[in-house]
Amino acid sequence: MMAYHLKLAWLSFRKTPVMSSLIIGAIGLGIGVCISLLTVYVLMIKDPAPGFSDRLFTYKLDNQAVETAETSTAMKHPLVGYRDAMNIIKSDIPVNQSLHYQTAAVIYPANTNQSPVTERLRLANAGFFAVHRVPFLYGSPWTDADEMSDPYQTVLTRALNETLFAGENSVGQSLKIGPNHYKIIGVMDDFKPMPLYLETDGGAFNEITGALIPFSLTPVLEMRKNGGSTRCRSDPAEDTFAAFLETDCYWIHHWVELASADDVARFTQYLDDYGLQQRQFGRFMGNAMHEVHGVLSWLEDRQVVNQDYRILLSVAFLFLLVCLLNCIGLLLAKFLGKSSEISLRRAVGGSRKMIFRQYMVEVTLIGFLGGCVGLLVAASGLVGIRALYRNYEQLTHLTLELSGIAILLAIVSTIIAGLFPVWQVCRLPVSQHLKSQ
Amino acid sequence: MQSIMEVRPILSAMWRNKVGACLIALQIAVTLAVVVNALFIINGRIEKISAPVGIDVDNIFTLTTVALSTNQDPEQLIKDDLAQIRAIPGVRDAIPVLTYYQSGSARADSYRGVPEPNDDLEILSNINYTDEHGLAAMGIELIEGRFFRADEISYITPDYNGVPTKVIVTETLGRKFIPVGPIAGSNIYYDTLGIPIEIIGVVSDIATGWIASDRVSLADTRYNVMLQPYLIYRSRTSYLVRAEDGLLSSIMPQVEAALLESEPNRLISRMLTQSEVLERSYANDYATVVVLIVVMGLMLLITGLGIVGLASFSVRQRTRQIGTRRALGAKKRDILRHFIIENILLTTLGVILGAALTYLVNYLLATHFGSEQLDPRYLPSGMILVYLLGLIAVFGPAHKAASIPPAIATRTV
Repeated sequence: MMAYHLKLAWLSFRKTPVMSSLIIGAIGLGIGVCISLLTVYVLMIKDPAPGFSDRLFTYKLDNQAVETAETSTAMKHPLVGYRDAMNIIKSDIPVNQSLHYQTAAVIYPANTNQSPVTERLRLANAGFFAVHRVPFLYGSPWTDADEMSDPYQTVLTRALNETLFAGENSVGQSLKIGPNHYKIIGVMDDFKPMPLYLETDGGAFNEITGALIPFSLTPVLEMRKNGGSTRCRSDPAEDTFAAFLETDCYWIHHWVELASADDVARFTQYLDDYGLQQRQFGRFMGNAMHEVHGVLSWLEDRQVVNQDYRILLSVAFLFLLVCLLNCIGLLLAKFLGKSSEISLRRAVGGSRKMIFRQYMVEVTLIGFLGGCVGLLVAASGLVGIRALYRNYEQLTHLTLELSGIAILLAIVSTIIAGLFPVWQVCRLPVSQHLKSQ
Repeated sequence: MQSIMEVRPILSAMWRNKVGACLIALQIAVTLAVVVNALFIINGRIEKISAPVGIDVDNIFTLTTVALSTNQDPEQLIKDDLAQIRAIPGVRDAIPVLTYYQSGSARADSYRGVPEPNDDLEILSNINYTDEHGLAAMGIELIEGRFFRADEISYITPDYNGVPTKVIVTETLGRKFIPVGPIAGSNIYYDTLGIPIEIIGVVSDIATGWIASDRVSLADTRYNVMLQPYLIYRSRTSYLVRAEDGLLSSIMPQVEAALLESEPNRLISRMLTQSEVLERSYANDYATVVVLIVVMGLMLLITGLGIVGLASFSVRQRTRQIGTRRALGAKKRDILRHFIIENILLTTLGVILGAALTYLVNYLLATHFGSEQLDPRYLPSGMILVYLLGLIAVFGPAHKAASIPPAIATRTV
């Protein structure tokens, strides 16, 4: 029966090729525009740490020098200072803690044919790799003990390893980064959390590139953060990096892994207690209300999704609406054009139900074909989006999932558009078009 | 009189195909709502992108350099580099800078015009560094006072925590510190340091590093630039170079070559013209404009095709009626006018619905996505566009209708 319906639908296309193409084209265009923008949006809002995002938390401290009853949100900094980080990391409530910041350095390839390059350099503690579940291709990261005893070790990102060592296992080799030599102990595999929840201030859709070295080298190397924001409440007392570390400047990313809701409450309490304890130094004089954020709430807070983009997405759906309104008219014209054939079928015994089924099949087929055209339109749309938004490279891939959504959306919206025309067709009186005029 | 009598048969003809007419009216309504809001947003973005920047955008590029050997004296390196660059024919001038202008990366500090600490009087300023060649290198004008002298420029280390004794500010920033009277010669103050900082000169406005930001809190500060007389090497240093008119693309490689020749043990990176820097800063706004234009265009196309479709359908359905009218003496012109008036009536219905929908859409965009409230002057432009679209679309089918021969009336088939 279904095969018969499909065959009739196909024949009907062939009889009205122009009109059928117009309908499929209109649906394709509407779906294509929506899906291009939707692809990027979905990737922008999806969970960047699936499976463990509910265990990761960061925080904002409310450090005010003046006693005040207000809690101004401007006082809450999304980054933490060196002194506070070194204190808070002593807490044993979290299962693990990640401290990191990025800077830049010159890397000297061992191969003298290659010239030195400026690359990103990330100072991260041992916990960074555990907390963010960083995958490794070769070797492994440093341990907490290494940070103190043997800090001149480095982990390369996969991309840097490709550049310097053509992707080979470089573990054990020595690499000159800046003025020092480091032993390569590991090479990361692809690690592209999207959005980059662990560091949103340098570009939320950037990738982690370059090399990583232990966080304990911070006071030794005296390298200021580069590639994100540093905010200072006051100036350092002296002209030295050590003085800078002591000042209330906020620049470090601190993420903790907490095993349960209980632990989240305990950690929040710990931060509050820490603030109260710091009051003796004239810090945290405000209400000492701190905010603890999980991954998704953090992305909301940091406004990672561009508002403009949401406007564009809404306009795209309005466009789909116009395309569908167009289709209702076209479908009506197409179906009513066949009134005589329908009446004839009814006259020789076809039931209303059969007519209904026939046209629903036809509408579904149109929707499916429209969806396919939509995927082609979306593919070109994504090329355009990539050209317009320089850093959306990672967000412009049409996944299998989204392709499925495209086809489904096309079918469902065409069926909705087709309901009225099909109803009209079923209502046609049997005898009307049998008359010769 | 004649037009009123014409309208009634047109309305009753539309009523016979009310579904088709409603669909088109709805499409026109949605199209109007989108077109008006889109035009409004696009205009806002274009205004934002065209905001004056102050420096000579067409002739400026900036580069960054890193010294690779540890025994180079950074201060001497910077001075030698600048001398090298300025010696190249085609280069107008060059200065050391702390950050790339209008790049989104900026140093900000708050200063105030009164000695006593007062939170309300703190003005956020975008700090950038320069030497005595600033005016010629940036292409800005001196409005009051004087520019820095060579002996006033000092080299500082990255951890330097002092403030300069002399600064230069843009006119906008100067007026915020000193609301009345001469700005040059006045003092400003920083944090709890009681040291007066003298404004020795005022220059024409320069856009800050955050000019492309949408943050409301920064809206008032977009031309608050302060120049400080420093050279700095923070594991890398940057130079802004201005070319003579039209020579930008030819001197860029020359500058790179000259620097590498004088000191080969270095890296040169991030060579960007000021236009490229602005493109990157405004990339989001530009993209919004492009996507809105594309979707708006497609929507007008689809709605136009819909109108063509409906009109053709009506013409086909009423072929006999039209032929009969022609046989009874109506001219081609009359038939044409009939369909045009019908189209105008339909568009008007759509426009009335659309006007309400426009405000609804704008309200939703404003409350959910922080868009601005619609300036009502955009509505007439949108309406005109939609009427024009309708007339263009209906012309073909109306013409075909007018060509129906009167003889049709007498045929039985």
